[in-house]
Amino acid sequence: LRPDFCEPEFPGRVLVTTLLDLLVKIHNHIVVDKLSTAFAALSDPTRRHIVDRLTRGPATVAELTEPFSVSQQAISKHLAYLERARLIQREKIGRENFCTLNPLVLRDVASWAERYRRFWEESYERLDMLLEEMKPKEKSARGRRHRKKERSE
Amino acid sequence: MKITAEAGKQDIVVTRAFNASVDLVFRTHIEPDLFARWYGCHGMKTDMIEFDPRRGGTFKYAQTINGRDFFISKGVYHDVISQESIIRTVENEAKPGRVALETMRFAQVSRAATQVTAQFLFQSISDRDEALASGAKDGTRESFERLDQLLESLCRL
Repeated sequence: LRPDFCEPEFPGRVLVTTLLDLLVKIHNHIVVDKLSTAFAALSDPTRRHIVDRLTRGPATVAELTEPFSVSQQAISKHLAYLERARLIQREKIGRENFCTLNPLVLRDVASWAERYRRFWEESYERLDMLLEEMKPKEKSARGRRHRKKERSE
Repeated sequence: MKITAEAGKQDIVVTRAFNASVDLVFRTHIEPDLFARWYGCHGMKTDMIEFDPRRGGTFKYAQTINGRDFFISKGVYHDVISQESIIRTVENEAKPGRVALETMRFAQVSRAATQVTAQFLFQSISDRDEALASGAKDGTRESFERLDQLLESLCRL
């Protein structure tokens, strides 16, 4: 068995990772009261990594600390930050304390300003194509003008 | 592309650079046939009803996405300065009286690059925030359907 077959990736993981990238972009350019705690919480790469890990399912603090070369205490601070932003919550399953994702807040963050952004991003993509189309005409017109000028000289 | 919407302010600023001369970029904003070809997201169709981009001129166009979400935008051009700026009012016909002021500035940054800065100034902060959050309630779009499915499965974990 291939290792990736043993541990199938959560199907939505790629989407979440893309979303997280997008959120960083949004966060860098947009600051608004309503969701600012969530945006601020996601502005840190370690915390984004933790959120990304939690999209694969609940994890203990020890499990979340493992991939990092920092103390469990440092990770706990990051977790408290994420908890305050309501992006994650802690749940006791058996004797262990697990962290789980709060998908609803993540969705609020992801969908916020999305339509607006999309309207302009896609409009401008179309404008890029239109401008490319217009360019050769401009060139040949300029060429004609140029040739005319040469002839008149 | 950069979108800026600062807390406590009532405007949105969108900036974007294009690999074309300011002459070309400006033309795409004032020639109706060209404008209709790019303004709007993928799948959006724009029907130009009026389009007179000069001082005091009016515009009105209807936009649809795949036959649904029909809406008409209209307004008045306050000023149009060739290859420099376009200032106009914009109003959704379904929400009369809620008018936004749109200022587009064009700046040639090099021979083949033009920067467009568009400012959308709303009547109140809540109008501005509503414009930004409009997608949040729109659960019909595919990308959000995908996200919803994902979130649902996350909830079950």
